[in-house]
Amino acid sequence: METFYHHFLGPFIFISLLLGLALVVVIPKTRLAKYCMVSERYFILTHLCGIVCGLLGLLAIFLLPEETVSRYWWKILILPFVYMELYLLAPMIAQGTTAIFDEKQTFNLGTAGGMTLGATIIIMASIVVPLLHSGFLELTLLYPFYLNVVLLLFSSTTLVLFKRA
Amino acid sequence: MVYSMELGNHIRRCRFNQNELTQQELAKAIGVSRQTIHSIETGKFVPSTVLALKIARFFQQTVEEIFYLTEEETA
Repeated sequence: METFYHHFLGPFIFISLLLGLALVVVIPKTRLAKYCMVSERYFILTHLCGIVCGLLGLLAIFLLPEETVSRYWWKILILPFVYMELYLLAPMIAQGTTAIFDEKQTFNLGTAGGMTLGATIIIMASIVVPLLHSGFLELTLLYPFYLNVVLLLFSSTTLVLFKRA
Repeated sequence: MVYSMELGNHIRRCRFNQNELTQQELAKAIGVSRQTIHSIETGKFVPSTVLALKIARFFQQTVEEIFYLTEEETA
């Protein structure tokens, strides 16, 4: 897997992200921007993807060998969410945030962000520190762990707030 | 005495008066998500002035004809 990652998957991820970023810069300047539709379904799908990626990332951290997770697994598992967010950026730059999120979605995203910030402070202090001390979590996995916790909490809170009516 | 004010609305009635318009159809016409219309109708989300005006304009009524304040005694 490591050879495959270093020879194929790694360069593919790097190039695809570069290409994605280039498209984000180019698309808003062209007519293609109006075809980048962001619907309610896409909003829900993005956060469902965030929940799945976050969960899989956390599972990988605890189930797979530390070395493989810290080297590439966490990057691979978070990739679908990154691609979905990249797609959001093009119409966001072209038309502004208000054109792609309605005010309830914006409000829900803000509330979810605040709640996630509060929850991660508690989680990092009450769970991560004991995990690090007991050796269940390696220091090299601290960043992937934090990233996946944030992703899972943010996506699930956004979705719950959005669906609650 | 302490009163709390809540925002009520007649959107549901207006939708039914307008050929039984669905939430989805109204949402599309206004440019918001269906969930937003549903939340406003049930009073869980207070719309901005712009959105309230858009809704009123869509139903060809004034904002006051669609939205109203209810006073509730809390203490």
